[in-house]
Amino acid sequence: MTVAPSAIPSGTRILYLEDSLIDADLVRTLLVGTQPELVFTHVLGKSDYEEALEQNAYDIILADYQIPSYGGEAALAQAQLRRPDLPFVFVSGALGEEIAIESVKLGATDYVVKQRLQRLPAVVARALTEKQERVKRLSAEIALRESEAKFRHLAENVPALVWMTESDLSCSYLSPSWSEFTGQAAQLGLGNGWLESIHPDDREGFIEVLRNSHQEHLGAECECRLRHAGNGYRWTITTAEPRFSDVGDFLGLIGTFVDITERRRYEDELALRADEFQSLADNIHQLAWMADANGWIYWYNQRWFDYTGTTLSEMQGWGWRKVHHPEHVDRVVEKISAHFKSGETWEDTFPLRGRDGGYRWFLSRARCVRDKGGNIVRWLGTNTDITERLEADRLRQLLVNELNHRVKNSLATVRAIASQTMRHEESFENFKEKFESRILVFSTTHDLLTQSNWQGADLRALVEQSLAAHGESSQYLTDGETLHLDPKAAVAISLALHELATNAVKHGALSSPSGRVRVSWSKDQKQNPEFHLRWQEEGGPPVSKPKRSGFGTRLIHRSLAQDIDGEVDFRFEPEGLDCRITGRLSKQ
Amino acid sequence: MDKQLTGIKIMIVEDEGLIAMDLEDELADCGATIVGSYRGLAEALPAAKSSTIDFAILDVNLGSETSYAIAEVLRSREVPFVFASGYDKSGLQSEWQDTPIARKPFNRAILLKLIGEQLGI
Repeated sequence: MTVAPSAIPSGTRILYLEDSLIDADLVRTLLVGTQPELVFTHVLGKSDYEEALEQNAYDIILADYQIPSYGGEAALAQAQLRRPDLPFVFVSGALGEEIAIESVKLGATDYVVKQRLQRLPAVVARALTEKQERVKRLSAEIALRESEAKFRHLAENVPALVWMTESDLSCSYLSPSWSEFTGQAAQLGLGNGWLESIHPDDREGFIEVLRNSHQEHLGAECECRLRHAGNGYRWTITTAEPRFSDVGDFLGLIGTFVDITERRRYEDELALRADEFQSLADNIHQLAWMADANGWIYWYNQRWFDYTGTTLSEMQGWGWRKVHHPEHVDRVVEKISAHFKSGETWEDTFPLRGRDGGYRWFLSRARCVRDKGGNIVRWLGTNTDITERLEADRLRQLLVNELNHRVKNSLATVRAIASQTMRHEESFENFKEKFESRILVFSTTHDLLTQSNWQGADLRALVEQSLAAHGESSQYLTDGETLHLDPKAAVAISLALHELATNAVKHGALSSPSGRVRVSWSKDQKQNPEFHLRWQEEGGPPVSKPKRSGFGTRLIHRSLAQDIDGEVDFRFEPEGLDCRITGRLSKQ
Repeated sequence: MDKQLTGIKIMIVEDEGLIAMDLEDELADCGATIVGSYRGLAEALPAAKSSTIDFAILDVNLGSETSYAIAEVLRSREVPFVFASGYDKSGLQSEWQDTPIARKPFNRAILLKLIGEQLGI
């Protein structure tokens, strides 16, 4: 619906100052003719007029310019003083062009000469419309001022630097905190000046982000270093949103800078910690892993991959089963699953396959990490290679068994010596003497063997040791090369030499001061080398073959021959005993 | 002297000469006949196959050899025997876990008891 521009709104209240009743009627008739629903008030002079202004019950004032008691200019001045918002129109018979212009300058809305009174309704209607427009404009201006005030209040109080750009990318607003932060006056930052406060290395990137945002009319986000009034630069994050007019035109961006230096420092710190953890995890000797609350393994250290030659994608979750030994994997899975459920610390020992396909043994442990509520958050596990420890344990056990075996064998030998000595000695005194001396030889031979870590003994050392306890050393002549005997032969030869010397002292060459014993030995170079040991007595009493063989003779014939895998030849020559022993040398 | 083993033919396999000698004497004292006393497989194995033997005492460790091969022969001939060793049963091959063992050092009483159990005398 369109309203004719000249129409006066119904109910309009008109105040008319006029000293001529005729003119007043004329005007009333004219206006009511176009709009019957008017409230028309006619006043004749100053006092009525001013009283009416006080009542504030009118929408427009009409006034004659020439009233004898009250000039038109005075009436206008009163109206402006009391009702500055009301339109004021002069209606006059004698209004020259100059006066008319002057009156408008003074603030009148319009004027109409009485000779052309038919214009009046249109003038009144226009004056009222203009007034309405002015009121609307004013309230819009007030609203805008209030909105801007709110915006500034917000912009000046948020803990961020607020900025705005126009559609041409120039900066049109910087909050006061900008100059506090950067040390650059906000005024200097407007336009392109603010870019000077961005770190040179970050500036191009920042501009690029803004440019994109302007082109696409989208929000923006980027991190950049911003100059700091204190010193240097601080890291900030800037976020921006596009601004649009009521009709959807792009107006530019509004955004903020927020100081994230602290956050960056925490992030750097965190990254450093992560680095430290990684290098610790990769440098410990163990294979290490982490699983979530359900036992799904999501991380292994580098050693795990180095040892197994696998990748995370193969191993994650329960993929680790493929490096377990088929004979152990079911048992391991069953046990660890139970622990993942119960939260109990887990420990197990099993072999894991290395990248070369060989298995090594690992002692594995895992314990769960719980949150404050006691819920399992994750599992931390390690696998320690104990292959060498197990091997050392095995060797130790082997050694203990071997030692036990050796002790038992020695005891058996001692028992045999005791038993055999008993068989040949009738008195306890004789038994005691013989037994003790034989045990002593056995014992000192053990000492020699122990020195060589039970590898054997040199024949010369055995000869010297066996003869030392019997007769004068000047009565012995020893002659032989270095000749290594294995432990068993060493013991047997020692015991034999002891018996020969005992017999020589008692019955043979050494029973006389002029007697001599020559002990000589050698080895041959056959493929299975043998050694030859000869015991020759001379200068003693005449010798004959004894009637019955004693322990010594039996020992040498029976036991020694067996232990050296050889032969013994006893010759009872008149000048003295000549005993020749041949034995096999163990391969060295 | 107790002649409990009179007429029984015993084979000894023992690499320690002195121990073998004493064992021979002990068994002979009890009336046994020593049909052979050997230090290693080379001599003992043919004897185990061909000799008339009622009973055998086998030292498990014969230097670098073991006497299981002899045990095998005796078992196939159903000749009863015992092992002699410084080790206990755990030192025996699993196959021979049920074979009686004379722990070294042993004395005459232990020996007679073991032989008696095996021969039912």
